Amino acid sequence: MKKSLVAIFLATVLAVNCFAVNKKIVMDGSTTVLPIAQAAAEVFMDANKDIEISVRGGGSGVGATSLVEGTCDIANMSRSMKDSEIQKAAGRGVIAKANVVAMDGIAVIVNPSNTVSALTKKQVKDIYTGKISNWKQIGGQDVKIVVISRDSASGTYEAFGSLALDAQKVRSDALTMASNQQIAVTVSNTPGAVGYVGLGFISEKVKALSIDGVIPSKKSVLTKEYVYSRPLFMYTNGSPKGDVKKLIDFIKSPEGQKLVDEQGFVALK
Amino acid sequence: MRKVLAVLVLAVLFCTNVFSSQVDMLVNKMVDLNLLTPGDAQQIITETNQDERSLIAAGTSETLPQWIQNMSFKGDFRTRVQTDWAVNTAARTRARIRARLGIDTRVTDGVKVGFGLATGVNKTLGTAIGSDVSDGEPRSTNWTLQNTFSKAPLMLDYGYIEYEPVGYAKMQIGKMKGNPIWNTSDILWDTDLNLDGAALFLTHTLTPELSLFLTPEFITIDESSTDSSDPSLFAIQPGANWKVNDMLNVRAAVAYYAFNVKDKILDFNAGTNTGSTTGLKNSFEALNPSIELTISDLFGYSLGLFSDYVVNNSSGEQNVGYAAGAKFGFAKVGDFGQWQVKYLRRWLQTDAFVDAFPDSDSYSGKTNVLGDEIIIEIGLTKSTSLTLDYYAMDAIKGNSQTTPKSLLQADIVVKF
Repeated sequence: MKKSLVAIFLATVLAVNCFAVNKKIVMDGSTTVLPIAQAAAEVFMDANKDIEISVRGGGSGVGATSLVEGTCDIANMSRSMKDSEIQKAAGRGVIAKANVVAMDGIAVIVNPSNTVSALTKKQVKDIYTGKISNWKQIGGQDVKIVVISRDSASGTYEAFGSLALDAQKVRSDALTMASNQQIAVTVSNTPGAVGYVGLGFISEKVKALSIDGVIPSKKSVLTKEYVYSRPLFMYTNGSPKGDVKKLIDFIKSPEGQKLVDEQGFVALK
Repeated sequence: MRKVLAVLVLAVLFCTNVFSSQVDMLVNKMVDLNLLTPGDAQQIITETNQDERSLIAAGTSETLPQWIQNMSFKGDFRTRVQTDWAVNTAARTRARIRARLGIDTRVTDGVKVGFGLATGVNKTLGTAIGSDVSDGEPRSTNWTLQNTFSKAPLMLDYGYIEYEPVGYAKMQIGKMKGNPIWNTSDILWDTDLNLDGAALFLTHTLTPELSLFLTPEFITIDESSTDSSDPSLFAIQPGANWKVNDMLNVRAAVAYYAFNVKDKILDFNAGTNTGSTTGLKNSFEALNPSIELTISDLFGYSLGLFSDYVVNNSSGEQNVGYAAGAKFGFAKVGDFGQWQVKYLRRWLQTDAFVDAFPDSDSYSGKTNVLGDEIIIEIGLTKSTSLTLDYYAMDAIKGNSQTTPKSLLQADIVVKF
């Protein structure tokens, strides 16, 4: 009898565990915010074994759509939500709540062999809108400028467009890349190339230019002294609650901000 | 002490109705006084600004009156000079204006009401003094400047209720804005027509690049107190939108129309369908495929190629029509110096489609027409544009010596 009871008890515990479902948090959106989200998810899941976090990219626009349609819990975005996205969200009963988790600078990068180290805002705009096509026009070598940009779904593209180009169109011969990483690799392999990436993607393989006399650094981005500075967001539907709140609070905590710093972005604390 | 002060100020900020600009000032001052770090300041300023936008969109902000938050307004004003030429007819030049104002208001989650006012021409129903007036030209919102400074009538151009319970399904009912059925040109439906009835808009996203849509609609065309079978239309249009790559987009659909108009005389018909003025001979069961290709970046500009085709299966002859064209320039003219050129070739046989609905500027909206149209649009400011629109038209079956007609319109449009 005792053995039967123990067997039944063990079987019940086993059955419950088999049907136990891990709580899940889905994060969608920006490829810029992706490294922060992935690093934070890894540490958070280690400390919270019953929570599963799925992190997907696709661009800030994808994140916004996903939040509005209810297919994600957190929309990672490297730009603020557009008015049209906020209106659409409100129409579906979604109150888009912005949670700033880090600051980022958009660095203009060139190949290390390029002799140009500084540009003005106007020169960056003229390069990207087609008015300047050779480095010699701005004091550099006689080399054709290979202009590299992001695809239109990218928040980095939108942010660069509004911060650097006054919403003007990027020149038609610009090469389009799908991620910050691709831009960094292409610039590092192409002597005449110029591109723009999040601060976290600067490495010794590329050279970041100073813009209007200010080098993109953590300090100059946090104080917004550097002109191409932007906040990075994790949008939620209303104020974060439950496990989502725990995750956002963790990312904003000193431990989470340390991860932000390690990924090459600018911590808020 | 400083920390206590910082906490107290922040508490006041978040417990009272302060505008975000005031928050910015206070927070920046606190950074200057070392009461807050720059990082905390960025967080507070940015999140406050974003929260205010979301609250306004949801209609729950306490910094603006409720009725403003839930409403959106838009409209435009157009001045036009147009000249008509025809063989053996004196050229006619008219100065015309058009005013349109639309209001959308979000009633509750998923429910919206939209209505719009527009100028037009009215007609008196009956000869007795005090007779009711009605729209005298459904295919136009123009008012010709005439009759010694007569004032232009303003009418309800559209008014509808929209219900969107989920992202992939939306329903409209009432006097809807435009035609729910998508076409690439106005060969079948004048763009000033706002259809009466109900429509369902269904969409389905298969992949990020490929989405499907299905639009059934039921339209009431007229109401007769002596005929229980009122003129009406059932139409349904399945279609797809395919983003082939970053540069190329294709949209295609096929509309099926089942008109209930046989033996009926429709108001405002153009008199060219067989039986228009005595009782339509055909029931107009028509198929209308449409396709549009858009190349977003060709030498820095957008190129669009488009076509509509129609075949009226209830008629054995003179039952086919098409429009085909191209547009090149800025995808949307929205600033000084931006431009777009559009060319359209149209050909519409006598009984290809109901003659009460095609573009009224194209040979007075008749069927049995063929011709070319060219439109040049130039941006003057962010919200103002100049448009030149030229039609060179003729009858398909007619006396080629006397039937050609031309029309030139010069418009200045201001949108707000």
